[in-house]
Amino acid sequence: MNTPLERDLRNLLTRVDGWVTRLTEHEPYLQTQKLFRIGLFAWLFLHTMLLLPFHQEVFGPQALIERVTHENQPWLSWLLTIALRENLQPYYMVFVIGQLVVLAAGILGFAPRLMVVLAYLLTMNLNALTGVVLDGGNNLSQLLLVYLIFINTSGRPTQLQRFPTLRNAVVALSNAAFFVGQVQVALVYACAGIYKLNGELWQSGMALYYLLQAESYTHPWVADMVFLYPWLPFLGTYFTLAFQFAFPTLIWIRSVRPWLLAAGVLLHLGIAFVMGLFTFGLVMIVSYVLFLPNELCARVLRLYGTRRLRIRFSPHRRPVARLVGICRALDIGGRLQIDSTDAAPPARPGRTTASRSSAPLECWYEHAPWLRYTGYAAVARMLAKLWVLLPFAPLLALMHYAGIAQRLCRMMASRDSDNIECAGAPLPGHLMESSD
Amino acid sequence: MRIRRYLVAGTVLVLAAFHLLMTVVYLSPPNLLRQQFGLLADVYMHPLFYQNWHLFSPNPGVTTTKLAVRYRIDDVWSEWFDPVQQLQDQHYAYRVTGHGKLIYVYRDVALELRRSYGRDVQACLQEQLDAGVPAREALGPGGSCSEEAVILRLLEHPATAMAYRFAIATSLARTPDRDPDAYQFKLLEFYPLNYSERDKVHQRWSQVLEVVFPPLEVIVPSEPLQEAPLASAANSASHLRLH
Repeated sequence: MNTPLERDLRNLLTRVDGWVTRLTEHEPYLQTQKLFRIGLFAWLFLHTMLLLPFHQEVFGPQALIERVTHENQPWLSWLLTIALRENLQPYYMVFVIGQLVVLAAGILGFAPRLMVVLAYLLTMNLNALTGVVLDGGNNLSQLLLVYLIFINTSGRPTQLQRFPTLRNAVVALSNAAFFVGQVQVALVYACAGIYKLNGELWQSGMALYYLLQAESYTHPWVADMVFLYPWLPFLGTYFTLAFQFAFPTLIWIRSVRPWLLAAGVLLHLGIAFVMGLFTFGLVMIVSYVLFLPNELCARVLRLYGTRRLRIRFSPHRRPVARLVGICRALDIGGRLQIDSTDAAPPARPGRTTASRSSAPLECWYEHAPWLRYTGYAAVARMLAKLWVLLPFAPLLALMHYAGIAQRLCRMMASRDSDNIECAGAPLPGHLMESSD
Repeated sequence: MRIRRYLVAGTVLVLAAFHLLMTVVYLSPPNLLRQQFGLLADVYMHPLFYQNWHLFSPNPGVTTTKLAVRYRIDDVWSEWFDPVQQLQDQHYAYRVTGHGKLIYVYRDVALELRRSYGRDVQACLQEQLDAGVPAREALGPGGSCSEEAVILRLLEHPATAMAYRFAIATSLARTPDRDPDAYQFKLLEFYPLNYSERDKVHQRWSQVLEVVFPPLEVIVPSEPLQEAPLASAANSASHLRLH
């Protein structure tokens, strides 16, 4: 007899089976995971590069930092604090250069899992040397590096078809670690929010009013603004509290997620530039990559890929010529090839004669010359090729999301329309793969 | 095959659930869960998953703590100067550089000294109160918890030694032509203006705590120094004397 209970049990078993299959067979966030690995490694690279000019004062044995080593440590703690040994402290640059090399290799996609393990070991050793300069961002990066060891960040599906059980285990671990990473980020906000509720200054809305007077967490004109407009830090205090409670609860709702992430980017850009906690604000934004859709991450990877971008521009349009000149100066890696409209453009397939585009700025990727971008789409792709602008990618993304970037672009060029056909055309199938 | 998949999924789920449970227990305030599983959580979480999310909580640190330093050459003391001011100005100007992180190193010297000072005063006060000595007497001039007494006790503390190293290094950086005869620093803590004081346009701080430490004299050695002045002055105590 087909009772309702049996029917429900059968449905439940079907759903559980589907869920188990998704956990052990499917890898729906490959590009997200890859982009996250690149973002986190780029942040670690930037963090160490920022300290490099002061390496003696921060990493050196004569630094004004109290370093304590413990005897009879467990082997794991010993491994993570090798750089603290007195006889090894003078050789701190080995750890610094080693970390930078490993991170660079990891960003370029060389043996990602091995690079994650090495990056973790070297980062933890460097962090042991520089305890006092670490903040919550460094703490989060350490945790995310551990999770990254279990996540497939290659951007390609796990192989091991000859060992199906092992493959299931590797895929399941990767998916579980990815989810645990998301929960970890949510826990950061949940804990920070709950702890804050115990403080009178946060309860009364005056926390930022006083905090923005402390020299370490303010800027002179911000401190003045606090006195002139006390309701600004008042609102900021409650906004911070509201966000820290909203994030862990609402981030799991996909329709709300973009708004929450945008609010978070705003909050952390404020922390980065107003309070001066640049690296902390940046790493929190990097952690948001864990919540981005796979398709969006795939597009970003293509945008920031290593393929060269060819640019044609009209030298008679001064704003465009100025922009192109600046990009040419900032193009350290030689990823832009710039021609003026005086040079004949390459012929498009299917046409017998080359036609000149009348757009003041036009660009295309070398591997897809038939796909042209003009206007804002061209500017965005040009800026994406400049390595020096990478730390500002969250700000640029926010400007794009809010439409500010598009408006600025329109102000620059009188012929401003995107080539909607080209910008919206999907890339051919074989070009959908990542560039490295 | 299906059974193996279920086993794998089950194992991974149990591991993930255990990890999340340990994380929650580790981060939770004192409660029944913490009481029951706290030790297990501490052992599990260290060192791979150590975390602390007291980010400006429960109350943010709103005071500004720093050291002011001066040095003496030929019996003439210099003005008190803030060794970190230039760094701070650069951090204000260039938000995206490492100056902000470097400030942490020097700020921590002052913060650690302040914490040590506060702990000593607290401990001393508690001891005196337990012995029946009124707080006013203990903290007053000549009392065992007075500023002078606390400073004397702190001279043995590593935080004070670090502060003297800092004072020596920053003074030597300002006097490339001639090494000073003595170094001195004072601990300063600036309290922000209260909301009720926001109209005091000519006042930047509500109050300032100032603790002046005794100067450190340089004894001229009979034999020439083998090491560079900075290294010898900052690292060796044999030719330095506290007044």
